[in-house]
Amino acid sequence: MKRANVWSWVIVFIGLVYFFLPLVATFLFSMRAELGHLGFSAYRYVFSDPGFASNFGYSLRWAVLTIIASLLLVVPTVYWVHLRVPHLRPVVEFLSLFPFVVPAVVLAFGLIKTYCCPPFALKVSPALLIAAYVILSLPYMFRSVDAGLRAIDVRTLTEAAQSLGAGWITVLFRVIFPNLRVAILSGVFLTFAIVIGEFTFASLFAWPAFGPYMVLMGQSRAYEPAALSVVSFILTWASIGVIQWVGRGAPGGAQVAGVR
Amino acid sequence: MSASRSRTERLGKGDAPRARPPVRALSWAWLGLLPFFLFALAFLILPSASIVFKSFQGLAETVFLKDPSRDVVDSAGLSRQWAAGGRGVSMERRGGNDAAVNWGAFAGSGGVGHDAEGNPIAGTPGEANSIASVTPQASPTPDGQPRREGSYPPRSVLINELAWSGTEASAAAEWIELFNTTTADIDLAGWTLSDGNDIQIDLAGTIPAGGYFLLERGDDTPIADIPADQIYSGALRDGGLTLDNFTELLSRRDLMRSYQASISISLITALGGGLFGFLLAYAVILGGLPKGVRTFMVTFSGVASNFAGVPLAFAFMSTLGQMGLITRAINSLLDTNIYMAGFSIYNIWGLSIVYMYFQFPLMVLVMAPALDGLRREWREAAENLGGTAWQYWRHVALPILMPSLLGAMILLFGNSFGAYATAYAFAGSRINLVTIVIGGQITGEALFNPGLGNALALGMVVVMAVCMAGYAATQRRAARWMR
Repeated sequence: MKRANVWSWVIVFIGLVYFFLPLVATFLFSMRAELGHLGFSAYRYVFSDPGFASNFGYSLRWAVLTIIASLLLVVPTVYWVHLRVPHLRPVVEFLSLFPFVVPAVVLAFGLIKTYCCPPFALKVSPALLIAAYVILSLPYMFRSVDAGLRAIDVRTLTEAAQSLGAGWITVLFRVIFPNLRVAILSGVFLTFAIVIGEFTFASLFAWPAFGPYMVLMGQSRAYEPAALSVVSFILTWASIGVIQWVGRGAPGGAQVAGVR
Repeated sequence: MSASRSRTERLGKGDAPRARPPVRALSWAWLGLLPFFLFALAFLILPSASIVFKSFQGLAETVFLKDPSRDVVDSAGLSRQWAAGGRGVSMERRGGNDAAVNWGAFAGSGGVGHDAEGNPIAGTPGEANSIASVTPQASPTPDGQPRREGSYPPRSVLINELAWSGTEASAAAEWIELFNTTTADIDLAGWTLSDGNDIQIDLAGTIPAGGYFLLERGDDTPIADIPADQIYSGALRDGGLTLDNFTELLSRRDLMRSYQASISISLITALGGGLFGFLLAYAVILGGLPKGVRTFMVTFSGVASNFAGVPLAFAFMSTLGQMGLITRAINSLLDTNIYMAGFSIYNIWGLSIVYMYFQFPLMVLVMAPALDGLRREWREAAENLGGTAWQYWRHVALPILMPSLLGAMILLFGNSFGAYATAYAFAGSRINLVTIVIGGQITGEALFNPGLGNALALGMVVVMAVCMAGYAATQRRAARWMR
């Protein structure tokens, strides 16, 4: 047992070095923009760049729209699956996990080919991008909401609300949504973390966003990209931190997500 | 809660005989999922299905109509796929330029003329098209613009109708119709109609103002009762369903090599990341470390598995790139520039190191529950029966863990196989992965054959589908030990 313990520490140590070395290196690299000493001038450059504000604003907009669309689509669906058609759950789950089978770049390819031209010329409106993001976040949103609904007694809640005279809209928005607060929040922040730095769809659909902006920076500047990735890492970390924090004691456990 | 539930149960039991049969409720209840199904159909199934379908679609060809000064006056099939029509049904121009939307299949009830066997032609050779709502017009020439001798404005003469798959009597009985959109007769001497392959027609004759010019293939029989204005030889390629795209894909060295690169990088990171991730998960969960370490590592794995894409690429450039932290450290400590010595991270192994950053945290997350499921009693039972630690692992723990391990590694494989953003931001087109090639296809830098691009994408989907099927199978086996 003693020996195993030593080896455990060694492995954990190696893991931590591998985890933290790139982070430390990125941070130090981002501080080297000033000749001779460390400083924050790369960050000052980034934050004063009008491109940063506008692209980040676009990404925020996409994230909010995606979250709204995804919630409106997923929560009623999963609720209905739990309440009325549990035998269709495997079908819905399969469709939700489909984005794992079709890589983002392939889906983008198919979407562009399908919606490039009339009669479905969606490519000129951001609707196609939002739809793609909803698809991308589907597995995480579905799993969060599904886990949340499993923890509450959907049938009893619904019947109680209905016997008190509530309609479907009231049941959904005043009973189910509030009871799923934690599950929905974790889905929301996962979606946020995915969309905010997403590159594949934004660049292939040619929409301004934070991801393509970072790549553009990487092609033209030296230290600013490192600063941007520190900013991006903090954002991701904060989102996941919020999920862990609101999800204390909630079912579901750790989620895996990400744009590769 | 439990009290109220037992009460409803009792109530339910009493109500049972009067309750409606559930089958009736279920027959319409799925309609509640309609929005979701429609969304999935539109943005998941349809694009995926179109990739599958189009990868079997062969290339047609483009027919160019050129005036005596060799300027292209009009074309048909610029996308190299016939936009409409089919066997025995002509493709009609609806106006405008040679875009897919401006073509439609003959939609009249009875056409004009008869084929060699006396069947009516599904088309309107020598007459206005069945969709008469839009009259094709020549695009106006800018005023005062001097024109070269023998040069005509675009679409002054249109390729108005094509029976690229012949008539009902014979698929080889092809015919083509031209239409003069101007208000003057045009002498076609010096004009050509060609497909770049076997069709090379030197036109001869006059096409009257607002009139038609009919070309028939081989002899005057394709449309038996309407005389052709000119006879030509050569065939219009039909496209249609074919395996050509796949044979071309298999014969293209560069594309096969991109699959090879994608698969090898996925294998490297699945095995490497899987092995180290497993060791880490084992150390953290069963290694007798303080509980805080475990919580920290699992939380951190959740974050690290999210840290992918563009920022991850930049992080590793700052670490191991030419100006990276480690590169400079080695330079100042050992006085050697590793890049001078031939080292580079912008290759498959370098990208593997980058991918590993999101791969083994994922392994930790996936393996943690499986390792938690190893029960203490099993180990104690093995020890009581005189088994060594090796025997316990060889005969008890590993066989139990094997499905989870295998499944997790398959997941890792798929995870890096579909990765695009990280690789693109890291190495651009220096590493020729399949995803990079497909991305290039979308932005129009590679492969000018749409069918080939679809075949390439379909290949990826097949690999991923095999992965996910394997993962599902291992999960089912693993579930036997999880209770």
